[in-house]
Amino acid sequence: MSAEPARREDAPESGGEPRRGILIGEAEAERPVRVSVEGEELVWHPGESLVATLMAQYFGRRGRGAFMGCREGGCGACKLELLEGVVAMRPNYSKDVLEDEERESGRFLACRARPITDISVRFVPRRNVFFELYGRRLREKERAAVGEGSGTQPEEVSHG
Amino acid sequence: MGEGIMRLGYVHIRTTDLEASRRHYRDVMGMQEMACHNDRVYFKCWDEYDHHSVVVQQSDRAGLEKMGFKVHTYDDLDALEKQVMQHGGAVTRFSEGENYKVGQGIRFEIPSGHVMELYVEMEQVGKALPSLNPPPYPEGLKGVGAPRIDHLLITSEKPTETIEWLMKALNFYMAERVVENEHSDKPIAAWLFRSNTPHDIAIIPGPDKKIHHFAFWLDDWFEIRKAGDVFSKNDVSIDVGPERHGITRGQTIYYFDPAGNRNEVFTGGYIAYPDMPVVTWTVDQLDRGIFYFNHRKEWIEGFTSNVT
Repeated sequence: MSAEPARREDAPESGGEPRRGILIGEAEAERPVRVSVEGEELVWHPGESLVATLMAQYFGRRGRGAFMGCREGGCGACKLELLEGVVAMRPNYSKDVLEDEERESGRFLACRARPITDISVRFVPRRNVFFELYGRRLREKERAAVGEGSGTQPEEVSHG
Repeated sequence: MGEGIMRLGYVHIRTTDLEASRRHYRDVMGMQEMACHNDRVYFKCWDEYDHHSVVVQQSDRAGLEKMGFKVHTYDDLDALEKQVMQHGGAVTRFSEGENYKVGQGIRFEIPSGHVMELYVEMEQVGKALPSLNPPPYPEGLKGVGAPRIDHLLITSEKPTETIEWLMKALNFYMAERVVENEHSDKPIAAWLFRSNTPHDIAIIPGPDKKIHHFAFWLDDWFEIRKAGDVFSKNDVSIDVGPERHGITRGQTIYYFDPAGNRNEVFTGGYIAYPDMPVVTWTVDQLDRGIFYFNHRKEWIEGFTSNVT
């Protein structure tokens, strides 16, 4: 994992590609690249957003639920932390879910992003106020139905 | 106090891509584009007669800028202004024309931080149908062809406080509520009305100032299916549905506009009167309450957490 700060398009690296960076714009790699996410290797294909790759190869598989989120840059459900590689992100996303400072620290929205190089990413846990209130009661009911114990605490939503 | 608030008049939302949102509300939803001023576009549905019901504004973020409720009379507006102030709301008066085509009114924040406006008059432009011997629907509707907006659902960090405030300060009636268990009287989510539908506004727990969705009315279940066809044909990002709500008994598809603001097409439900006994849901039955057909229980978490 690189310790370099994320780069912006107004601060390009001179002499070769940066190891980790989030560009703003519509660029993408010209051929398929590898996407490493939470210990799995996926393949991104030119012309698709990164969230499309995740929905086709990661979510809804091996016990994971289907992806829920707007895919339109508004809700932040597909927020990723970039560990390695370079992505380009389109500018039409909501700063309510990704402030400039957070983007500069290496986070981006998969639905607005395309890789430029092979990348390694992980999901960013999110708060769910609704489930902080309701989650325990809902899960108690489900556990009671299958004869398990209850009393678990509500937890953060994670796609991992 | 006269008759008070009449209905939800307009939803003013933000978009990060005005041209894409314009195509969505005009060509996919089939709304009529009424005006475009710099950074905002005004739309109305074909069965609405006031100038607009949806305002879309270019911004660097998605979400709800404000909501407008139409009030019967200026006496009602004065009375509501007093009530809002009595319940701690800081009220600003706005003059005629400050909101394009809207008369004078009041603006304030509700406890969840959402901006609400009350007004009495908006320029009437008439429906897309004549008022003398009209046919049932106009020719040439695009896409979904939604006849009107119906309601909105907002999130609040202190939902009980927001619900009680809306009922006390603005005389909203409660159709349905969610409580912790059958012995609790404390609403942690509620569906409130001033018209004759089960909700003009609903409140669920979540971050302050955020919108979960706003909804378009459709005439029946078959129109919901047709809307689903239109969404898939146009690559509109569908969230959940077609489904049935336990709460309100509505039928639905949820989907997203090009900025990620959730929309709904909604039909069904029942006629609500101020004297109806409140329908109560306990948290342990909420999965059925939200999506009655969702026996797999896989949608609720992402559905409730994603807001703009």
